[in-house]
Amino acid sequence: MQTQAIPRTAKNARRDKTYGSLEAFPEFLEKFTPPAGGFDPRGAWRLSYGVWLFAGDPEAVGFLEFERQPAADGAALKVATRIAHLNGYQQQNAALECAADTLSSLRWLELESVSGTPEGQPLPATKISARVQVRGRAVEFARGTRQRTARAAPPVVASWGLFDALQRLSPDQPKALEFTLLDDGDLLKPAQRLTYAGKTSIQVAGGAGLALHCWEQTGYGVLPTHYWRDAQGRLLFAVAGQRAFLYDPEARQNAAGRRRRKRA
Amino acid sequence: MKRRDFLRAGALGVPALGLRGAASPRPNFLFIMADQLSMDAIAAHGNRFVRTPNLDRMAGAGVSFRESYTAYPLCSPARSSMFTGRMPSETGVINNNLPIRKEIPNLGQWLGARGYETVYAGKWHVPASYTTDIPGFAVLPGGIGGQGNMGDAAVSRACQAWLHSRSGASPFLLVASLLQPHDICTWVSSHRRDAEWEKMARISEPLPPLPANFEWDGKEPSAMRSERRPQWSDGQWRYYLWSYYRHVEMVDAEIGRILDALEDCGRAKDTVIIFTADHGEGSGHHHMVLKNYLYDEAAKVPLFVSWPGQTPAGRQDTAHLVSGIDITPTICDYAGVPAPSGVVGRSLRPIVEGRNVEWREMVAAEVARGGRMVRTKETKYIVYPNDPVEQLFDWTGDPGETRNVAADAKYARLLEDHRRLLKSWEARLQLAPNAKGRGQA
Repeated sequence: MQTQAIPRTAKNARRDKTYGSLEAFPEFLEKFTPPAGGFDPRGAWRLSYGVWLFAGDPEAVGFLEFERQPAADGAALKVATRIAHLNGYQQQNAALECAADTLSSLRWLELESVSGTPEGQPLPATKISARVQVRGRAVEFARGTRQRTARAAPPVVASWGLFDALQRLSPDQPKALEFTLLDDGDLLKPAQRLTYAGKTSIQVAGGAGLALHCWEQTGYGVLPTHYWRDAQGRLLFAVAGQRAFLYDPEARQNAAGRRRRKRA
Repeated sequence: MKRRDFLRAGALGVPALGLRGAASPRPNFLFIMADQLSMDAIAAHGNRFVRTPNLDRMAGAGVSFRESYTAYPLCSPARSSMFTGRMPSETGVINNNLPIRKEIPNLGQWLGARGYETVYAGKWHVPASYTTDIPGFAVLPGGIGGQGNMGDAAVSRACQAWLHSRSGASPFLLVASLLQPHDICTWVSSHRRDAEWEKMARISEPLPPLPANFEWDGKEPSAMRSERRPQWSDGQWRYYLWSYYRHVEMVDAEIGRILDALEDCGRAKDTVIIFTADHGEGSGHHHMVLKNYLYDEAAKVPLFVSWPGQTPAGRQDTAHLVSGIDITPTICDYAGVPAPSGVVGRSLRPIVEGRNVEWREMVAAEVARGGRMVRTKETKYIVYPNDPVEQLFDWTGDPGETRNVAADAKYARLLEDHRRLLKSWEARLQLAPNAKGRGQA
């Protein structure tokens, strides 16, 4: 395994070289200091990520935070995420309970979502509260008095729960793991596969090497998505198409109220 | 093929279903749009390499028009036509990022003045992509320019919240304008070097095959030759198709969220759902990617119309040539209001309801650099100003548009007929000042 520096590229050439890759973030990685201290992926932990978009120059557009508490037969996760839009923001908070199995399969999830103004004022009419309960192959969605049930091939794994599971997966896992994804709190995405994609090492702040294990996810509605974690199991980076989640304890403080204007 | 065959009016009646007039005279409308979605990239249309349960759900609930064309295979011009019923050369939106002429009302202004609550979420692009200021519409928050794989979630979430919280008594028009699979544009521009193809090797499932019309006839107007990727291998083309279908599935999932919300809020039975896209995607046909040309893969778009209990379920209409200009008059027809004056599109409602109707014999489309298309039941004609090469395709033996017969003496009269058809069509249009002198007429 050789340590590789992520090369800097000219701005106008970057989009030619970096789609769905850590190569999109050379400036970020040059300044990146890996978190110090021990980490137990089975214990209680907090992790925070900056949410980035890139179609050319990368742009930080929000944050994603996790707080995990272990339980006797699984784990409880609290999730907070906020994404800046061109005309405001969207905030989502979720609580979920996951089983103590290989993929942290979902038992239930409660979600609150609200959008707001660029000045940070939430708009009550945009508020959504929902609860999702998984019972075998049945996934029940409840919103107020309304309820609908969908069928899904187990295990059902919340996209946020996947961040938990990946930190405990063994690189020796011999075959692809198959699951149904519950994305963004309420979108069922069938036929997902997760495979170990090997070891690599990159240069970070001060030219230090950082060893990473990589997993790759594919499936319905998912471009090849890569998750990188360090030797202790801590998930540091995830890149999917034009969006990325990069470990950053200060992501919330750095989050913008609105996104700079771009054309589609 | 005989000349009289295509000149004959295409009035193909289907059995009436006896459903007309049974519903409320003032239905709601949910108008969902995707961006850059090809007609063929849908499982309900026979594609085995993409999962589209929610697009299939809409197609299965009503009528899917399989001979449906955009008015102009580029974002802003196509959208200007959908929302006005006029051709882009009339709206003045003859390229991206231009506004609709002020004297032409958009659908929101028109229905808003006639008792409808008109609400918009997502990409507008006439001219601004994401804006809080769309004439005639209240605009919901949400939308990230340039990236659909995160911005569309905010748009579908905004529609979901609005549907659940709405308390108004008046009927509504809700537009949900999603950006995917448009992110394929960035994907294409990012896949030039070898390094970007590494992921291809790890895809475990079979990649989609190359299209039957992967090759093309080089007798093309020069403007039609853009957007090819001659450096890609067959495997890379197949991986591009695989990736495009994943983008299609992204928008499919967001559509599911909106459809679920419509059902859960109890409005589905009172709501006409219309779905379409502004243009298609090259998809490797003729070795092409992206849009802004007039081959079918860019010019043809899905178009579904459904209304639970009112429309026949699961009908695929191949008999009628329809266009994005038909959306505004269709919605006006269902709403019980006249279409704005000057509209050149026609209501699809009679076709949806299975009435025997005299229908148009040709559909036209425009494109950049003054390009024009005439599609009849059995032919397609393409011409650009100041380019001596015209294209004529005989669909009876060449539906993939691979043999340009325009220079074949056997087709000389047919070619002349098409020139006349186009001239006659363009003579009907009230051209915007910036469009005069750009077309053929």
